[in-house]
Amino acid sequence: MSAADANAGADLLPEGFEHLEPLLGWSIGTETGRIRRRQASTFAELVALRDGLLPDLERIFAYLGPKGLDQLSPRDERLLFLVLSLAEVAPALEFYRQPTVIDGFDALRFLPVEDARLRPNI
Amino acid sequence: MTSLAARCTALGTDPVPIEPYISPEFYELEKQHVFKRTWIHVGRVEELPKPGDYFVKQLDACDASIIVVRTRSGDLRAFHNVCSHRMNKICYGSQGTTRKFFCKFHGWSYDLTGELVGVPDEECFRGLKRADHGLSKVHLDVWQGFIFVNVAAQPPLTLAEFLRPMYAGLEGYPFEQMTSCYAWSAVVNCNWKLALDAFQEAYHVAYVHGNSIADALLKTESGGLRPLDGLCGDYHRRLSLAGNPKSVYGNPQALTERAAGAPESVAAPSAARPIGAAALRFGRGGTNFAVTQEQLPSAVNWTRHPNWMFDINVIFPDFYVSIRPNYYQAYNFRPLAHNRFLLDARVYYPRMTTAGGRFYQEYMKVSLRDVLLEDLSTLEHNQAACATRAKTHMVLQDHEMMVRHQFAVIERMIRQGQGEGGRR
Repeated sequence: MSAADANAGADLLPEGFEHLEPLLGWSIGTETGRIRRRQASTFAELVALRDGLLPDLERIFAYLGPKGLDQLSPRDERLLFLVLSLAEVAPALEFYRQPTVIDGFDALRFLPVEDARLRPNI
Repeated sequence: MTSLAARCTALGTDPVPIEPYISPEFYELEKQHVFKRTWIHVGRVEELPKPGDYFVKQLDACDASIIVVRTRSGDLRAFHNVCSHRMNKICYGSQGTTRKFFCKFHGWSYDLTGELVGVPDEECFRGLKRADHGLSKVHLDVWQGFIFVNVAAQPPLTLAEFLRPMYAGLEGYPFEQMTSCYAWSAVVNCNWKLALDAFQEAYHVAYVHGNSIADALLKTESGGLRPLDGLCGDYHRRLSLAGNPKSVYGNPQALTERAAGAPESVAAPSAARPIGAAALRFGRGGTNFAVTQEQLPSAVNWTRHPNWMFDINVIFPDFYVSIRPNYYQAYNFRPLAHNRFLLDARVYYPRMTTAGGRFYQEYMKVSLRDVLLEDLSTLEHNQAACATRAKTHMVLQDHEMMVRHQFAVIERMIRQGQGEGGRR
């Protein structure tokens, strides 16, 4: 179940960003979750994420920018996690032109250590 | 100072034999004469900020599991993860915070300095002296915040004697400022030396990284990717590389406000790489941390090249540290067997203060991770190909001298170790 399904009807994103709610399945709080979703997606789904977010990046960072990473509300965090998924799919779109690394080692054998002591909270 | 060309051939030009990369017997010699006598990196001091914080490292090449803990007096100690009673592991997990170490087999307990402090039914042990049964100590020392252990009873060199001949000039690099660490790990079916070799030359970059970051390195007039310089010491080795300032990945000053190259970095890739360009644009000013070339220690970018991108430092035997002005990468190639190793890979950035900075950091981090997936892509093929014994030697060009140096140092240490054994 995606985040959008689980919270249907809630105010999921900050005011002014409601139109991004169809992309909320990409609002994922961990790198492990984001790489798994990227690996399981088609190239067209990655393109849809990029095309959905790029036109709004200016407004997203204008909105999130002044807040400081430790002062984000749950709705703000959902928006930031969406943008972090855009970073996750950037190499797929801009280096490889396919979801996975060309001829690459299996990303699912090289997963993030999410409980590493110095890993940032966000 | 001799020229790079002269240094490239100082170790000779002969082909390097394959057998040491596929032989279980050679791996046993490496364990005995290299890993069990050498300082091994296990973590950063920032990972253990408070008394009672500990982590556990499995070091198969030393036949050891090591606990590293911060004591109440604030110093760091290392112990074998072995109960003094009936040899259970004291810690089953990889990290934690505790007041005491407590064995789950029969309840023996040890304080943070490793002293035995609790024995259930103690009166049933005849003449047990607690002081004789603390946890077994392991030598530990710290350099620039990096924690090293040495399982030898008497390490042949102190950590400073081991590191400073090559790396004293790195002291003062702001490692302690870079406290946002992302880590990944993988078990790879490849010899640890063969794997490390893939990280200590730039010859592969145009091919293995042809889809990703090959354009971030500065090419020579003939189109080759050659190091600016390379240094081989008694144990360690260094390589310095130049970047293309017109790429996001290749401009180490990209994020800082004063970055002269930033506007062109954005302009050149923005059409083909709009997300990369956005990361650079929205990331600017996202961290309070910035250093200039002039503030870096003298041994960083030691050739003072204007387009310098990063230095590779291989701290013998298995610790790779690549240094840029605004982040560093630290990888351990921990041997598990003659044909298997654990890649323990970390990248350390400064803390980001804004969402834009965090987006840039994520972009740089996942790009690096994907580049590592490229680096890892050949390794299991390399090992399988070596094991066919279709070839007995590998031929090396001048700028693959670090491959030759790694082998030469290990062979020398084994020869010396066997000589010492013969004299006993």
